[in-house]
Amino acid sequence: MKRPLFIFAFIFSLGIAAQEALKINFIPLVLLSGFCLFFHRKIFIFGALFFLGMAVSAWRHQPDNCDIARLINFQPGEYLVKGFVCSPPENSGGKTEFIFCSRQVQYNGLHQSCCGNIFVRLSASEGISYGDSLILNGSLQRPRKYFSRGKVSADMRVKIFQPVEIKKSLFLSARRFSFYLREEFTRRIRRYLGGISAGVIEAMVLGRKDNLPKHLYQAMVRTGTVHILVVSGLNVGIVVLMVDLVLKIFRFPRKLRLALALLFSLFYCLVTGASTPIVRATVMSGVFLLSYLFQRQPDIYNSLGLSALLILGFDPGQLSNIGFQLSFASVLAIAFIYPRIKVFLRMNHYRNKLLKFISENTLVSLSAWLGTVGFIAYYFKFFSPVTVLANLFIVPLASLITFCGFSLVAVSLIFPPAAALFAASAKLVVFLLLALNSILLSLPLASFSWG
Amino acid sequence: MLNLTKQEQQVMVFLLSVCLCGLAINFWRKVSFRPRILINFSQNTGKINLNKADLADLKSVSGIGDKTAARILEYRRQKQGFNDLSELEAVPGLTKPRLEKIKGSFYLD
Repeated sequence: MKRPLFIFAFIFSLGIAAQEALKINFIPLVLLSGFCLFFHRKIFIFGALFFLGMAVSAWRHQPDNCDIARLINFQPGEYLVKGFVCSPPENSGGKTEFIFCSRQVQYNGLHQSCCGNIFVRLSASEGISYGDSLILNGSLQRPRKYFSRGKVSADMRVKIFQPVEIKKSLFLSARRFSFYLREEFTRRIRRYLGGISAGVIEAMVLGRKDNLPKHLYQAMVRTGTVHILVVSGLNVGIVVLMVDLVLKIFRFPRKLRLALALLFSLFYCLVTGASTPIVRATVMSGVFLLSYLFQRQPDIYNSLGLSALLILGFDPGQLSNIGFQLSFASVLAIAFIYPRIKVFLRMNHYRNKLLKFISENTLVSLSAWLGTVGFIAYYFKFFSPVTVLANLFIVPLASLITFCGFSLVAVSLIFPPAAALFAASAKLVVFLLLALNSILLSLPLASFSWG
Repeated sequence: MLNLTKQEQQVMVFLLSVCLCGLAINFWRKVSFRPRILINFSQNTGKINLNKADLADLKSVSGIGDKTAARILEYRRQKQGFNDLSELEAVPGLTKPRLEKIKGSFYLD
C-alpha cells in the first residue's frame, strides 16, 4: 500500500470526528472494532481502525471515578491534597500558579486516594519547581478556567504547602532539566536583549509568548505572519542543521551525526513545551532522519500521517484544536499544491536563479495560504490578502532572527563576551521585521474582518 | 493505493488488537475505581513548625509578608522560641483578626 500511515491517520481522524458528532457509548465501539478484526480483509481492518478512533474519543470523554471533583463535591472546609506539580510554575502579580496532579485528598476527617488536575494559586514562592511532590493545605472551588491542554477539576487557594520526599524518575528528571534549561535560556536572552526584541526572540526560539506585547501579536495576525512566532518546523530544521554542522566540524561519522541530531531535536521539543506544531515537526523530522539512517525513501505524507496518529492517539481532542488544524493543513497544502503548480508553471526551467528562488518561495507561501485561508476565515472571521506578500519578506527575516536567537544562546554559554555582538544583530533584524510588518499592514486592503 | 498485503494485514490486526486491549483495560480502570481509604495525615501535616520555620517557610503562609515574617523570627530569637501559639499576639504588627487567620497554619513540638 502506498502511503499507508496517511490513510490510517485519515480514517482514525474520521472516527474521532464521528464520535464527536454521535457520542456513542464506549463498550459498543470496542465490540464493533474487535468484531471487525476477526475478518482479515482490508475493509474490515479499516472499519476496526475507524471504530478504534471513535472508542479512543469516547474513552477520553469518560469521566474518571477517581476525579477529585466527584469525590469532594466542593463541600466548604479545609482540604489537604497530596500530589505533584505537573506544569512549570509561573509567577505573576506576586502569585505563583501551576497545575497540580492530585493523588490523595483529606477532608472532614476522611483521607482517600484520588486523581485529577487542580489549578493552584499561592503566594509567590521560588522554591517550587516541576515534579515537586507537595501536600497543599487550602480551600477547593469549582474551576474558573478551562485549559485547552489538560482538563482542570478544581481551583485551589493554598494557605500553606509542605514538600514531600520525591521519587526520582528518569522522565521527571528529563522534564525538570528541560524546564530548567528553558528558564536559563530565557534569562540569558533577557540579559542581552530588552523589551520587544527579547519577547520576539523568546517566542521564536523557546516558544514563550508571555513577554510578547499583545499589540505586536495582533499586528502579525492581521498580516498572516503570526506563524513565525510559533515554534515549529523551521526551528526543528535549524536545530538539526546546527547540530549537524557542529558535529561535522569535529569529524563525527554521518550516521552518528544524524542520530545525535535526532536526540537534540527530541530534547528541543521538550524544552519548548511540546506544543502540537513542534511535536508534528519533530516527528516528521525524526522520520526523515531515520529514513536516511536506515537508507529508506522518506515520504512527507507518511511522516505527516505518523505525527497525526501519535498526537491524536495521545489526545484525540486535538482534532478540534485550531492549532492542530492549521499546522497540518498548511503542511498538507504545501506538500500537495506546491509541486503541482511548480510543474504547471515549469519552474524547473527557469534559468535566472534569483527569479527561481523568489518564485519558489512565493509559491510555498501561496500554497500554505490556500490551505489555511478557509480555517482562518471560519474561526477568526478574518481575511488577509497581504499574507502571501508579507510571508515572502517576513519568513526569511524570521529565519534570520531564529538563527540569531539560537546563536545568541549558544554563544552566551560558550563565550559570553561575544554574546553582545549577536544581541545587537538580533535587535536590528527584529527592528526590520517590525518595521516591515507595519508597512505591510498600512497597505490598502491589507486585511478584512467581520462579525 | 488502498491495497494491503497479507503481511500488512497481519501487522495491522496485531497492532489494533493490542490498542483495543489497552484501551479496554484503561476504561475498566477508569470506571471501576473505588476510593481507597488511607491512613489520615498526621494532625500537623500541612502545617509549619513555628519554632523551626525559616523566613521562606513563614512567607509561604498566606497573610504573612516580608516584614511580618522578619518580626516573627526576631521575636523568636529574643524569646528563644515559642511555648504557645498565643504568644504570636506579642509580635508587633500582628492584629487579632490576622492572628486568627494564620494561627491554624502553625504547630509547636
